[in-house]
Amino acid sequence: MNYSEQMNGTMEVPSGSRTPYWAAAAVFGVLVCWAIYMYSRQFVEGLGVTGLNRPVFWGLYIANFIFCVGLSAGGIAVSALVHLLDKKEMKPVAIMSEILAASFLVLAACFIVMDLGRPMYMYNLFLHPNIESPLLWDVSVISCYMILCLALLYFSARQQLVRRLKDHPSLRPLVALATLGHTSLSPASIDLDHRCLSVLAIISVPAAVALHSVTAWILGLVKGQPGWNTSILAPLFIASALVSGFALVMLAVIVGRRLFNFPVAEGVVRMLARYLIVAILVLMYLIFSEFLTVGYSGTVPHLAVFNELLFGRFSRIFWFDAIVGLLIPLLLLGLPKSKRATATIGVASLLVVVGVFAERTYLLLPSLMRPAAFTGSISSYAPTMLEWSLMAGVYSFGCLLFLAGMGLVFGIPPRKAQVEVEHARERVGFEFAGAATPQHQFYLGAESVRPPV
Amino acid sequence: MGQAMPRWGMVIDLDRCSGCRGCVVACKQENNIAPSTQEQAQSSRMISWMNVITVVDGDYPDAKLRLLPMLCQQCENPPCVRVCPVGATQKSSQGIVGQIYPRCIGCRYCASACPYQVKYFNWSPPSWPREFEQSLNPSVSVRPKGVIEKCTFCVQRLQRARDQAAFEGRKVRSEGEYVPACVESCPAKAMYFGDLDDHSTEVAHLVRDTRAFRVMDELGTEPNIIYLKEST
Repeated sequence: MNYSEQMNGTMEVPSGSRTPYWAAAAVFGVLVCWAIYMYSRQFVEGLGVTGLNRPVFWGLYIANFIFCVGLSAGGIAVSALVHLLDKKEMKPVAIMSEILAASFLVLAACFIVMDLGRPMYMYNLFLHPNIESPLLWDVSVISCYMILCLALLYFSARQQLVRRLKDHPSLRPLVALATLGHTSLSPASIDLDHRCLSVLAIISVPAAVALHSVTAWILGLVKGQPGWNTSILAPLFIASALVSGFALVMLAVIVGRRLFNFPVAEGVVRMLARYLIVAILVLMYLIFSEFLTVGYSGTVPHLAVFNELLFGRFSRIFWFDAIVGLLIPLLLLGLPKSKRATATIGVASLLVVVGVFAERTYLLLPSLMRPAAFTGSISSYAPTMLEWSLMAGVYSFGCLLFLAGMGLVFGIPPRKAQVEVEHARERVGFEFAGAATPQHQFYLGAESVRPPV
Repeated sequence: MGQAMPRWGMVIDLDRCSGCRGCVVACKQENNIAPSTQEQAQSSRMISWMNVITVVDGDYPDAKLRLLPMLCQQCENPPCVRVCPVGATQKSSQGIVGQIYPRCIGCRYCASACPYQVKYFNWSPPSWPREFEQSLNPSVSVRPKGVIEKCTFCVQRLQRARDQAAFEGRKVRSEGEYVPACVESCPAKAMYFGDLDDHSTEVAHLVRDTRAFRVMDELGTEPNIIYLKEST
């Protein structure tokens, strides 16, 4: 690189090294390939390769499905919040939440397809829909919701994508594809984006509630299953979705700020933390309310599930969620401002997300695994290596989607060393500008003169 | 013979049941149910549309072994039919809850929703010892892996009876002409089968017995399998 190139204002802004990103993507890619191989085994041999049995017909896949749907609904809740509050400095957070929401919805679809005994007959959902089935409602809601997610993402990320073209002309084909060719930045089209966003944000609140309520009703409307069949399940799922969604977005902000060129102020995490505290308190209240009702006045089958949860085989998962997933994060988030480092908030968010996953398993499984009605025989379920592999593969796929989405919209930040070099160059530029000869001024051009930071 | 559509139902007299499990074997033979392997049995994946559940009542030395032949309860208001997203499990006009195997996508929602746990999933492709393959029932389809299956009240027998009746220009008789394999095989004559809506049948008479009860009646599923309680 010679001097004239260095001083040329139209030179491409150096971005950080992409090697670690490609390395991470390669690891995730390998995991995805492994999961595809494992899935092909399940496809050929049948669901017997899982740990599922009678009566534990649903297991890890469905727990993950519910978890992912919840994260998707929670992500959209954050995005709707940002759009409705209309805070400009939080727009990148909205874009990221929408990327997360869309990705997790894709993952949820993966899990539900993986759980099917005959996925290639799925077209029967369109040929012979039974409108009485909550599962059909869920398929319909998820499809509509996916469109909504993508629309939200489109309108909030479009300008950002187009702006990136200025520094990275090589992205043009991708951006043209992602924006569907609509690359205008005129005030009229920006205004249109804005208006579409405010309408979509208002629609997305009831849509997120519908999405996760319907998912809850898949379980909640089954009359023969004591642990599921409670009207509190839908509100409980919504609260869990908000809790996990806020926590995931916070975690992603904290991580994303390091990984991507993602301009977010510290205050955003603090604000989300406040919402998270409220959501956790509501969730704890709902769980307590349900448990008090069952513990005080439950029928025999209800009490059997309740005992499994509090003292039986699921007690470890339950108490893990109650203490590590809810109580400790609550205390960490409630620390006085001076003692609350970003890392602390990050740890708290991670614990919350893991806790909600634990919650999904203990809401799903004990009802299926309760002692049989007449014989009292105990059923058991342990996920096999194959199930864990598929789960890892699906989440790796999610990480790939996140990397790709964030990388496209925000890009990779310049490395620290490079930033310093850039600053040094600017200083040099100014020195030269001070003792400017006409020739030097020609080299500098108008755009390259940036005030030192 | 009843005027309206028959409501096929079964009465099981628990006083008479000896627990021989002849019904279980007959059902497997009739309906092409593959014999379970040891591994399937250990991992709780056996398929057996008819089961004889044993319940130990009380503690030793005053324990009493009770038997409960458990099959699809052929509910009037079946929870499994409601939840199936593709309508693969349906109640026929004859009141029989059946499974449309080619349509089933294997989501197992019906199995989770059935309070009696009498829906069975094909976790792996069915396989028979070679000698058994020759004795498969040609009137019953063999279910592939990935679908739910269940007791159909031996609907193939009803079909045969209806064909015969149509040939002779009459309706299927309310009793005796169409009998599922389990009822036919019971050596203790503990099982009765017929049209519950036809007051002349023995089942309709037995249903009014003071010993008659239905399992989990409180759920409102209204089973068409009626049990007669043990006297002692």
